[in-house]
Amino acid sequence: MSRARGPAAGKPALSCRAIEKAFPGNGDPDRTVLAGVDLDVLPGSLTAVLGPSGGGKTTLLRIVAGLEMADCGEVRLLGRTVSGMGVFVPPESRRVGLVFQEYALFPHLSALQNVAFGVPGPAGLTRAWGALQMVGLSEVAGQRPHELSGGEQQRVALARALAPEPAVVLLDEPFSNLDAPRRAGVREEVAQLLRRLGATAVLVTHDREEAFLLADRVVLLLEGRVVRAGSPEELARDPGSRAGAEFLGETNFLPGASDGKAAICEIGPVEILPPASGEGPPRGPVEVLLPLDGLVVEPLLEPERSAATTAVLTRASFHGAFWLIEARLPSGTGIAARSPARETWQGLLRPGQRVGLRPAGPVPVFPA
Amino acid sequence: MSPAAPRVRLPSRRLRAAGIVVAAMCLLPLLYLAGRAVAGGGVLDVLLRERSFGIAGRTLLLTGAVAVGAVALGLPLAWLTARTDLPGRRILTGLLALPLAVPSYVAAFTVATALGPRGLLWRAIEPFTGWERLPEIYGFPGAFLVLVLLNYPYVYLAARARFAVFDSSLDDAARVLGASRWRRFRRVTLPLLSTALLSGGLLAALYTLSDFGAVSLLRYETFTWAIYNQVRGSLDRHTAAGLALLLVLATLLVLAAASRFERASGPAPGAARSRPAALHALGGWKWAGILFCGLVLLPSLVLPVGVCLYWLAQAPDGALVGLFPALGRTGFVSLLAAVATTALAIPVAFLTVRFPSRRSSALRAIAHIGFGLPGLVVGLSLVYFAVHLAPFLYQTLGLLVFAYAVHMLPQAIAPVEATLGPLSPRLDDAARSLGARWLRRHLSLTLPLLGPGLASGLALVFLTSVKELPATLMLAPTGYTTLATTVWSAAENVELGRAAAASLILLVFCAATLLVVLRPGRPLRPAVR
Repeated sequence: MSRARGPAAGKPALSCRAIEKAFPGNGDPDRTVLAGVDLDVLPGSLTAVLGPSGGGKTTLLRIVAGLEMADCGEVRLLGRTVSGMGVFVPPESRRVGLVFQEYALFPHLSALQNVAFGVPGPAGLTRAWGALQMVGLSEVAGQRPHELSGGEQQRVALARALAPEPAVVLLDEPFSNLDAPRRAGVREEVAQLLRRLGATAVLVTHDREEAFLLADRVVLLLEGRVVRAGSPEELARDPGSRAGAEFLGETNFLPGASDGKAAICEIGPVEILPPASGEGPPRGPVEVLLPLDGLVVEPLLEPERSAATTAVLTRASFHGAFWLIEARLPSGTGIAARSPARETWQGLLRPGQRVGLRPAGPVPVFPA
Repeated sequence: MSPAAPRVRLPSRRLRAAGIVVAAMCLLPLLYLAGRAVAGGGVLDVLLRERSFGIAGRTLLLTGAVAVGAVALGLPLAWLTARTDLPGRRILTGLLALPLAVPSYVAAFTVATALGPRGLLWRAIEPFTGWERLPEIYGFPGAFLVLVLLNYPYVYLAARARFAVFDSSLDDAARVLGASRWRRFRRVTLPLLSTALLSGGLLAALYTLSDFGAVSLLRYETFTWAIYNQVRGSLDRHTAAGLALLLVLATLLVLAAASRFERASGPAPGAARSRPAALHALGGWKWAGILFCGLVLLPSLVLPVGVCLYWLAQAPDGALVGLFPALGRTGFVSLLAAVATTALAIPVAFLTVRFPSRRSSALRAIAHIGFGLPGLVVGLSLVYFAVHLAPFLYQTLGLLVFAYAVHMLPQAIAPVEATLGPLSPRLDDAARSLGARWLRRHLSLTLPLLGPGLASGLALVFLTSVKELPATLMLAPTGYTTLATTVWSAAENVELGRAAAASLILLVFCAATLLVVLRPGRPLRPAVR
């Protein structure tokens, strides 16, 4: 997982500064799609841009590729400005590889001809053949796109994007067109291939699991703004904002109050995780984020003996590796937690059972 | 019997009998024509005559030229309206399809009288230029001009349809891969459009092969006009049959090619459009674009209407006598044709939709033969058929309606099939289990459920019959003039006011045709003929 990360990797291969873009749409003549986005991609790394659909991810990719022009901001590729500061390099001359969501394979050309499209000339044909071999498709080189399976089409699209040896390869929801059973295998293959080649890649996805599994760095893009960027582990621990946490899911929010060091909420005092931005923790009324996995649950036989806040279990479902426990706090607020199965719980997890809840460690809080 | 075994459903005897009758009606006259042509030595005779080479050569020249001309006009018009920010493209998009509905004899008569050597245009500019006359319009130039102006919409609509499903990401992909504008056009856009251009061009060729009105009024002797003259002159019926057979062969070749390309032009795999394609900004060129559209619309739409209005205003007293009876006769025979054709379409649609088999698809193909053939050939074959096998039909309205039905059957079959397709055959089973007998099932279920399909079939056949010229000329009982034959013979006799008045009434019907035909989602093929 840890490759090409940290300051040792040097200057970013791709860097975007303060990218803004507005489109007419949704009845609004000037709908903001990107509101000042920064993005840095280190050479040889795989960065995922994660966010809901309509969040501006694809627009960001198209701006990097030169297929859209940013309203303002700057795009630099290998240190050279390709957009912004009065410069606009057209997509034809940018050396950016792009794998489209629908693959956009030329239907009238064979797989090999598709791959060779970006590398003209006889030498290009050899390169294209090499690229096709690299994705393991040399035996279908003569076939047209409609004769290939979805996974094969996807790999042809990848080979086509990589054949001209682009400075950066951009992948726009590349796995969303594959059916679920095949998706896991294909995305693992693609990630391994990109790694083997040392390619610099940006993957756009709305799938949290995909981003966390494949990428070295995840950029969370919500409503045209980057709310958090970091390693998957960092994002999982602190999603940057309430909206980020809601998008990533698997959390509870409880209202609370903070004195700048610790906070108090309905399940008791909690330790505050310092914000990634480097600013101090918020003071005053806050929202306390309690991840599903960040709560310790215990069924209480004698309630008064426990220090933990008690809640009443409403539903417990067994998922093999863990229990998903839903409970109601005294105020009526629902709360959920995920806990590994324990033998001593045999027969205890029934609706109406009193359970104790406490946070397993420091948790993020956001100003209310 | 295992539960998975398919339950073989056979059509009822009644339905099968109806299917055989329809097939016989469609096939017999044509077989008879072919038989006459071969047995009477007409084909050999025609093949060996020098004059035939001239006719065939002119037909091929005109057909090829119109196909190429239609592509040359249709492609840029489709691009302008579908892929650029041309001002007013919404209204232009609709207007540019309209010439398809203008009958060729109306266009031919107006073009000849307006742009002819001493036509209206000459009269208007003569005081300034002092020219003796304008260049000749009769013969190839006029026929070519009129047929290109009426047929480019086949290419225009096909190319527009292709542009509409055009995956803009293909162009983006080519750009990102470093392809220049010219290389993208040559390597990506053009190959993807090629099937649409070919099938549109072939439709234009097909229409040209079968056209009678324009070539006869503009005096360019192709197969259709030559055949008509042979029959009218009663010179030699064998020669007419021989020429007709050659025309049928040429038509079948074009039809086969057209259906092949139409099948090949399905949507590209994975071409679901992810985002709307960006329109090309024309900038200062937009005025050139508008001028181009105007230059096409002026002679193909404005001229027919304007010239007709002019001649109507100039018409002497008494020029319009007999037009209302002709309108009545046109309406009556077209109504008969619509009802008969739609009635014949119902069993065909049931057999092909409910009982798909080799036999039912053969029936469907047979029902389409008459549609692909020139109206003149259908008319001629029925003349022979009636004269020799069914003399009681000759010179009756029944024979004319028969010809319309054979020629227009697919126009009624397509909409009935389309409404029948989604209906579950279990509805009929349910009615049966509830004790409803045949007549009640069809009156209370089939007819109301098929209503929309039947209505659009009726409307299409009615409106096409109103405009039909060559079969009507061949088969209408003596004195039974319709609007179409009025326009044609009045134009022949230079009764311009009369021709103009009948043309204007026809153009109203044509506008109605387009409202029925060009509703979104309808296929192009069973459209206007």
